[in-house]
Amino acid sequence: MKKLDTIEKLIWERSAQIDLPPTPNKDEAWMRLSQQIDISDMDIKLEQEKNSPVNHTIWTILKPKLSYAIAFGLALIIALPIAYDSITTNTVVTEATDFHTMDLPDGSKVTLNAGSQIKYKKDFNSIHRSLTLVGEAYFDVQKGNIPFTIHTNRGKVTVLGTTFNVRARKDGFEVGVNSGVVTVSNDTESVTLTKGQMLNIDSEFDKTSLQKVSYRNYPDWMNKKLVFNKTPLSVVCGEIERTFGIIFKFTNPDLFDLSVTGVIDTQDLNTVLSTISFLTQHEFKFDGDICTIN
Amino acid sequence: MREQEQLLLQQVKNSDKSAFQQLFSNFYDTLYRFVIYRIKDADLADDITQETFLRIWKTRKNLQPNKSFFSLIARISTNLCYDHFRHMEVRYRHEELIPEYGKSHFDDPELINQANILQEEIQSIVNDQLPDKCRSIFILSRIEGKTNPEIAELLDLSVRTVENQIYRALKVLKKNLKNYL
Repeated sequence: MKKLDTIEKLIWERSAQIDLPPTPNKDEAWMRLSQQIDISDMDIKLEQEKNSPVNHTIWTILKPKLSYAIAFGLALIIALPIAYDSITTNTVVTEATDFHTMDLPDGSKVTLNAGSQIKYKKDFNSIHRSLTLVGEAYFDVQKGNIPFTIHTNRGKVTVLGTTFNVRARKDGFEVGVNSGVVTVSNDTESVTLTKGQMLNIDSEFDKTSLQKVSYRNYPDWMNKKLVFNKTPLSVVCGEIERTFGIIFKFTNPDLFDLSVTGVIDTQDLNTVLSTISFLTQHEFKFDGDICTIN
Repeated sequence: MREQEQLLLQQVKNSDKSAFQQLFSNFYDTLYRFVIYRIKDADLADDITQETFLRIWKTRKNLQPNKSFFSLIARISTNLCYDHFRHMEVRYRHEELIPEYGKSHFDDPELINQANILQEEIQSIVNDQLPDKCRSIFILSRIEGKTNPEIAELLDLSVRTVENQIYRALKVLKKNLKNYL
């Protein structure tokens, strides 16, 4: 190394004396990335299957991946992180028609809607309260000093103690607050919601809009209702598919964009279908668990 | 070290997720610090770091195991930082973003102020004035505390090149810090 003069020496020393914030917990970061990878791989798989004649329901494929291929031949690959991952992470999945309420270690309650998944590390509530969500869930968060964070692939939701709904599905991202204060952020923006406010991001147009939670008993699915406000028929059918475990087939793709507005009681499938049929002025034919729309 | 890295990259290329986890484990901390040195926002740095690794996975078929992995993720994350700044329309980043950290070792407020200003100036010069490779090398040296041979191996360069780049960085810093010293 060449010799440095006084000034260069000073710069040399000073440039190392910087206080950077601590790096986040690596295991937790991997858990989130792992989820993103699953989502990404899933999206690609679905794109490939789009034209296949048999329509699988998305959510039966999205199962927790607890078994990885472990290569023993090469000592350089450490098996520990993988095993550690499955031992240290809790995964809760709901299939179609499922509706599941559970307690988190800090006393918070989560209710998962059909076809949803949450993942959280077992040391939840010791130094963090953070989980990953794919799908839709209603949260009743206990007040606490540690911020409660929900990671989705569209954004992050942070609260201290509130009740609110998060919907993070392929066709859109929505957060609505019943009580308390909720902060939603992605890598460029951050919005704070309070009681009665809802954030809705259209997956296609990337628009952000703050709306009022205008109907009583939000969110609808927790109260056995489905509420639609100029919602495309494809989204409506997605909700019905998940609630009742059926599959829709469209004979005319133009129907995807048909707009539906109304409140539907979800106690009984036939009532639901007649209501939709009436609202859209199209006929539904039901055969086994496949429903065809003309 | 390089052989292990090459092996992992080849496995990731073949969609081996456990190899990818190992790669993540090896590089996460360093990349995070690399990003936050420029971005200064913890949440944003976290997002960019995650996004970088996600992109690696998504384009794993194009991985070249014989090329430096750190160079690749440094480049991707730097581009993501630029994208963010373009989106925010921020021209002078170091003025806009107030650092969340900056605890000083001194008690004298006057000294604290001076030390912080100098530190910030160093940071902004490194971020704005150094070419990418030079910047990577300087940060790996001063922030990560890596030796020149270590940096050379990590970036697939000669030790002589590493040394030259560090001197180059110091020259640029010295020139730009004339008013502060």
